[in-house]
Amino acid sequence: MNIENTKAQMRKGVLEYCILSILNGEDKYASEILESLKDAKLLVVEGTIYPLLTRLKNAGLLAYRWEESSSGPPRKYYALTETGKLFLKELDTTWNALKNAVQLVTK
Amino acid sequence: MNKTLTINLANSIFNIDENAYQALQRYLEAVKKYLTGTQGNEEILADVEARISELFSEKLTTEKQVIILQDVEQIIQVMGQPEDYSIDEDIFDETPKSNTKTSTRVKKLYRDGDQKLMGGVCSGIGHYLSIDPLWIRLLFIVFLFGGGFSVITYIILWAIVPEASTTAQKLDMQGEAANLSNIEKKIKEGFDSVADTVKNADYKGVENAVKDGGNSFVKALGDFIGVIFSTIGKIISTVFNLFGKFIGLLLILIGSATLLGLFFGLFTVGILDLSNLSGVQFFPLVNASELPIWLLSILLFLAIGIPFYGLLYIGLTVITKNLKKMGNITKVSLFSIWFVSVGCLIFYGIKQANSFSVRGNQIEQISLIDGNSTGIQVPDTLYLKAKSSEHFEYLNHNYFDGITMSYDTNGNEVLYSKRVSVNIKNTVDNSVSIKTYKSANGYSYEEAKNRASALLYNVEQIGKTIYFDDYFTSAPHQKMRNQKIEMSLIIPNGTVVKIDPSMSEMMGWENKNDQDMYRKDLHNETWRMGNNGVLECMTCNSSMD
Repeated sequence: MNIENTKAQMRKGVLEYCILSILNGEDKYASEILESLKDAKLLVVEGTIYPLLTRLKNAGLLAYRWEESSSGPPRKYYALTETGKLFLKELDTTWNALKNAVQLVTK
Repeated sequence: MNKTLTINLANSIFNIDENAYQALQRYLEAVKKYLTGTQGNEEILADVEARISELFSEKLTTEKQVIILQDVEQIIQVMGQPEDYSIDEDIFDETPKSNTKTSTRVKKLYRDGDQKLMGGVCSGIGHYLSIDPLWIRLLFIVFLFGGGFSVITYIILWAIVPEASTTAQKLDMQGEAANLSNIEKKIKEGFDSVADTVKNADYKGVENAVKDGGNSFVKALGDFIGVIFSTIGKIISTVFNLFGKFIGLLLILIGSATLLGLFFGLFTVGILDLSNLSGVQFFPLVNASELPIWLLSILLFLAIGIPFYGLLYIGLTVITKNLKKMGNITKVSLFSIWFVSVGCLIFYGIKQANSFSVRGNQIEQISLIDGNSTGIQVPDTLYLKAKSSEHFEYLNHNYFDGITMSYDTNGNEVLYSKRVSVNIKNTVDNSVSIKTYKSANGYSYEEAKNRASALLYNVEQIGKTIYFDDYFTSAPHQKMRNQKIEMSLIIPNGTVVKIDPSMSEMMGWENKNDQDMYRKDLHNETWRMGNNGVLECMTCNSSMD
């Protein structure tokens, strides 16, 4: 078993949850989302996020609007939809349960 | 000095070096190819371009107006390889993604639903081998006449090989073939990069005057050698790949041919119960248990067929790589079925052997002429003749260990055998008698003895002639269990015996004679029973001694 592979799988598993959490209460555009994820060392390369964003959008969890930018072309701002908010709430519960379980087991 | 292009990336204008542009274009192409088939791929690609455009803007300052190759390389590192763009289905895929930087697709075997006549197997193979499916179809048809081999192969491939449904799978199916022109292309790519390095070396050489010129040349040479080695490596791996495929093909051939042979050999005979075929008709006679022939056929098919199915499967995995994986449940149940059938066969075999384990016999004695009690003169010359059944002789028989299944005059099944032998022995009494030893095998002595006594046999005396039947019969339910009849004709010393030629096959091994003559030749001479039980030749030429 490849350790890098396992790490990547772990990260990828929680990535969707983290993206939704980042957008909770604040609309952001792709680069800002990337910034937060990279700060948290959740993302190694940026390419991973674009298919994810599109998938979340297609699933109706996210919506986006175009906004003019002072520097450069217009930006795509992502926001949680109502479905997205409910989805996130449920993931919150699951994550907390999971976190406790993992802590309990690895203690 | 480098040539610069102007590009429009996500509605922003950039000046970019030609080689940087090529690198960027290759990267975007690779990502695009990788995302083919993913939902919303164009949107993703637009987002990626927008991000790259943003990153480009960050790289540019008033002093630096042009995007160079290094910038593009850095951005590719930030964005990740094309494989990193996959997030959906393969998250928990155990097999690590290969980190090749090139975007060449590995060709996979799929069924082509767009060009199909039946299941799209032939056109799929055609894509895989980069030849017109017509040839594959022709091959299948040719094999069709060569014993129907292709039918099974086709059905198995139809069942196992998935159909290309998504665009990505269709591209995989057509892929890039490992043919000569591609190898050539790879080599050419290698040379191009060498040429680039040489160019760069020249450029640096001017900058750093004489100092580094030599080193740059050495570096270029090193790169060149590296390219040659990697090319050779690629060719070798291609050859090995082909060799592996050949082995795989061989396994498929062996596996499917055996399965086909078993199928026709056992299933047709067993299921259709073609028991009037010669060979098969012995089965119920030999069979010890109540196991019906179709069940035995299925057991044999499973016990032999499953391992060969395994071979076939291994061959297919070597050839196709993207085979539907055999689930653990399937594996375990196949193994259990195999194990059980082998177990049943062993049990059956033991039972079969057991039914021959004990030999039993039945001895009957008939007095033909008793000179002591009846006062009738025992004739000084006896004639021995064999009597065969006109009815049974007329029928054709395939003997199995000397016994066969036949039909009596009423058309009922009957066991029929010619395992009858006659030995001539002496007695001091003035009487002629016959001892009949009937014997057979069975589970127990009792069973064997009963089977032996059930043998029907006739011997008859008319005047001076004794007629021996050259056959015996028994009921078919008695089965073939090594039944045999041996007779002793017991005659007083001094009796003369004339053996008819019809007896030659029946004469036993225990007929002692003073000429050491072979038992089948005894009928050529006239014999007299000596006092020591040895037949003395009366007509032999004494000069022979």
